[in-house]
Amino acid sequence: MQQYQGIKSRYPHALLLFRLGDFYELFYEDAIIAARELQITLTSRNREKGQPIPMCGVPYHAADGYIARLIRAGFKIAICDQMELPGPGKKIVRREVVRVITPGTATDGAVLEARENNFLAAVAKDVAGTLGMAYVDLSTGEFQATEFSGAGAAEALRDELQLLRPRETLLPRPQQLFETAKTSLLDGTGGVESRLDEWIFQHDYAERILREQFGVAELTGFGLDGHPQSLAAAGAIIHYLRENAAGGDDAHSVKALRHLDGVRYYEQQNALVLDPVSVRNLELINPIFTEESGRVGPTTLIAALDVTVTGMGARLLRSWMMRPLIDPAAIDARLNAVASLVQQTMVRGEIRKELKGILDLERITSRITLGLATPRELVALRKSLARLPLLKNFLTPPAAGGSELLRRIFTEIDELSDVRERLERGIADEPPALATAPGTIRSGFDGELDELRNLSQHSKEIIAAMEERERKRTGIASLKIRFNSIFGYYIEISKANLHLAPADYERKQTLVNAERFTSTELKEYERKILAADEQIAEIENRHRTERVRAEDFGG
Amino acid sequence: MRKLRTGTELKEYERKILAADEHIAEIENRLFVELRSGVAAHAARLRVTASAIAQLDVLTSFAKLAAERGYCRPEFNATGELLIVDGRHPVIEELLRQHGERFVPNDLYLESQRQQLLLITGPNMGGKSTYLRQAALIVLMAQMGCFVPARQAKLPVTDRIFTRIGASDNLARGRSTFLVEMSEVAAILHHATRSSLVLLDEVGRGTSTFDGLSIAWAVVEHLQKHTGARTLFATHYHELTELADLLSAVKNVHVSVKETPNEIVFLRRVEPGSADKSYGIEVARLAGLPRSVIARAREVLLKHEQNEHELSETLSPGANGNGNHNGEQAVLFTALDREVIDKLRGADLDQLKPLDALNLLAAREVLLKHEQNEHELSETLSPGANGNGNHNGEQAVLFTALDREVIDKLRGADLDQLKPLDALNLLAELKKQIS
Repeated sequence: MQQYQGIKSRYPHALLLFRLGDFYELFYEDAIIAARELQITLTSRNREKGQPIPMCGVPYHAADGYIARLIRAGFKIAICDQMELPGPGKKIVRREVVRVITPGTATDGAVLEARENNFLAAVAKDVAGTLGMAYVDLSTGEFQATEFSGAGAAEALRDELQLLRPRETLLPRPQQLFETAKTSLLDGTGGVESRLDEWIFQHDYAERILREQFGVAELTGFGLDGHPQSLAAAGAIIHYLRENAAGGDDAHSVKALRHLDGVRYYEQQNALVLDPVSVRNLELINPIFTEESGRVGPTTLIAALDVTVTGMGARLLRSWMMRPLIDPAAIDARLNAVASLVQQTMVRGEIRKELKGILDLERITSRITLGLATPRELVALRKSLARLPLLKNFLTPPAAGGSELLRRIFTEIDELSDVRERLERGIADEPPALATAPGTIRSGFDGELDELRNLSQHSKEIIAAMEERERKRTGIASLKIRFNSIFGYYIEISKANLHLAPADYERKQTLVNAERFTSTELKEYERKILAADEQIAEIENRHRTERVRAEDFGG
Repeated sequence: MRKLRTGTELKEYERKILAADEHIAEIENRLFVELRSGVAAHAARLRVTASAIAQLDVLTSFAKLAAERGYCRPEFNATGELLIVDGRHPVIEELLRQHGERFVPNDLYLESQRQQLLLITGPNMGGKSTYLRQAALIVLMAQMGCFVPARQAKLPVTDRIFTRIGASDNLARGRSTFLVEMSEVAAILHHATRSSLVLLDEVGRGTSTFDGLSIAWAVVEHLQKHTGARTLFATHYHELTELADLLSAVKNVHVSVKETPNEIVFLRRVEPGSADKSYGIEVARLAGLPRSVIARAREVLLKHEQNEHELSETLSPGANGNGNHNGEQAVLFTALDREVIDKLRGADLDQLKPLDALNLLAAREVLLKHEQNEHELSETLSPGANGNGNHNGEQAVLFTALDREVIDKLRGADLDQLKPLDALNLLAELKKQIS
């Protein structure tokens, strides 16, 4: 428990999921909350010492679902894993928090709505009352910032937040003893509010961390010049993501967040401005009266217009609806593209058919850079990429017609055939859910792996074949060939069948219900094992040198 | 090949064979992580592709909607002219279609000189709100780059859409409906520009009839004279339709109703001119109200209408003009001013929000006039005998020089320049004077 206390003290605002064998356990207050939210049994430990500690746990292999429920309920989760295998001679296994998941930083499909963004926002404020706001969708890489000033600044900020509906908003910690749960500044529009130290919102720090994140010497290109508060808010977001979503270690987190390669400055009035009142009155996203749900058919504009077939498209449609264009040229570019697609019924149908088979590339890309994508997600990525050539084919001019936008989309769709080929050669068609289970890598991809697999497979086959043969020869269906660390390989025959044991078996050990033997053939096999051992050593050696020479894919 | 020496040695080797499985898992995991970070190196390419695909998905969806639902391509102009021919409400049309019904399309024309603000009258349930919303949705869809539910749409670029529609669901937050309504209207009057689209549905409904009508009247005047925003104003205050005669860019339309001896059918067509006022009494007749009551109602209505005309004459003398009627107002120092003073006295300033203050002040001008008229009306309908109206004599006595000063100050305030907070201060000051 001392190890637990030490770790917990560093994550006071998160529910700590503490790995103990096959379970993630929660203790004390965390356990009481989790038991209530997840409807699982609250137990206790240390009862005998007179100071029972509340405790509950979820199985390790099913943890994702439970974590998703807690995140959706607005809690933050710190996941503490075992960093080494328990074994003899180790008193306490080393444990570390590998990730902190918060409502605004979740990327797991179980937590997210496929057709909605999951925004994390940050708000910075200077003494003059200028408000900077930045928001990111970690799961897609969308990262934008804006600023509000003047008398209506706070109201404009709340309006914008009501449209974005962030799951979580970062704010500077107030200089007072007791924090109130919600600030009057946001008035509940920012989702879960998370407090960070004030220095994190300092302009200098923000500039440094953003330059480092984007790998640039100057931030001028992002349009943040003259908007120090939006810069501060953007910096706070990167700081928070590094600390939580990416594990904190600098080099690693820069790499993990590299899909956030820029931030875009925007102004509210660069689009048709919709205030929250109008969004509600016009029933764009939510119906005003929900009780009429018995009626079939759409009740909101989004429901009436959303016939998109990908999560990416659905999210973009929402964003277009919340921020319609005001530049006539940009509007016409879209209308031209639509007009061109209206005329081509066949092409349109084919494009939609291909789009249906493409999974959420935005979210999977984020999970890949964050190092969270599973083998199956990579297979899904490969299958999606495989559709791109056909999709592009349907878009080839003149199908793109007179639409400049469609031609641009055509050139922007990168078939990524190099990535697809690499995935195809590397990952098995039906890999296990986790990369730690066998069968992830396709055979033929790595020589060392193939040889070891053959060997392992081979030795099992030899034993299985021998067992089968001996069963037939003796007529004992229950005959078994097994291994244990004291006696090595043995043939086991139950007492009832003992009279059937052939004469060439040599007795090794007597049990209550069975006798264990060895045979000439089994001895011969043991000799082969010796050879195998030499083989393994030799294979490993050879591949180790090869690997040093091998060029790094994609580097 | 080495020779097997001892059992221990064998066991050692066997363990290695088993360890090969573990070793395999390790290698697989390592290769997988390598592959994954290899792909991560191409994240930028993947994101560009993903963004292109998202756009393609939305644009193809727009094309599908256009083809399957008969949407048309909107045309944009810089002249400020807005023309929608056979416009439909995209959501309700779909809803009806799924129930095998057809939506009745309507036209809309707005233009800054002659038709900047439409007053929409007609019975409730007649389709006023739908007409309002459908205009906003068509404008919104067009600027998303989507075709629109209409036969033809010529649109200016709209910079903001403002709405003040129906009963708000803000009651749950403990704010009064009227206060919410007024703060929404205040936001519109402060922020709307010539390029905005403003939808107002039943503004003033949350308060007493004359307060409401007075506010609605003042709001329409302000929108037409100062804001210039393209505006659709649905109202059940029939009195407002007279504004079309007074202000050149205000026009009346109404949702049509077909009356048969036995029923009233909502045709849901928007037609020029104001609504036939008698439909309310017709509905009452159809509902079986006694004949004598119906007859009396017609009589009251007639008187009321006559009075209305007088009212609008007072408010906007001549046909149009910029409301330069201060000269006349000085004459009208009557019991009505008394009521304004009383209202001021009664107002609890500590409870008052700045916006309310502004609204209170804004309404006072029209209120003064209208209530004046109202008293005359009730005098006509029930000569003498009315306890409520018969205090004119007394009131004249109670008028002091101080009150007079307050009224004058009220008249002098330039409401267009007044910020909500100033309004609150002004009220506080006035109240201090009175008390």
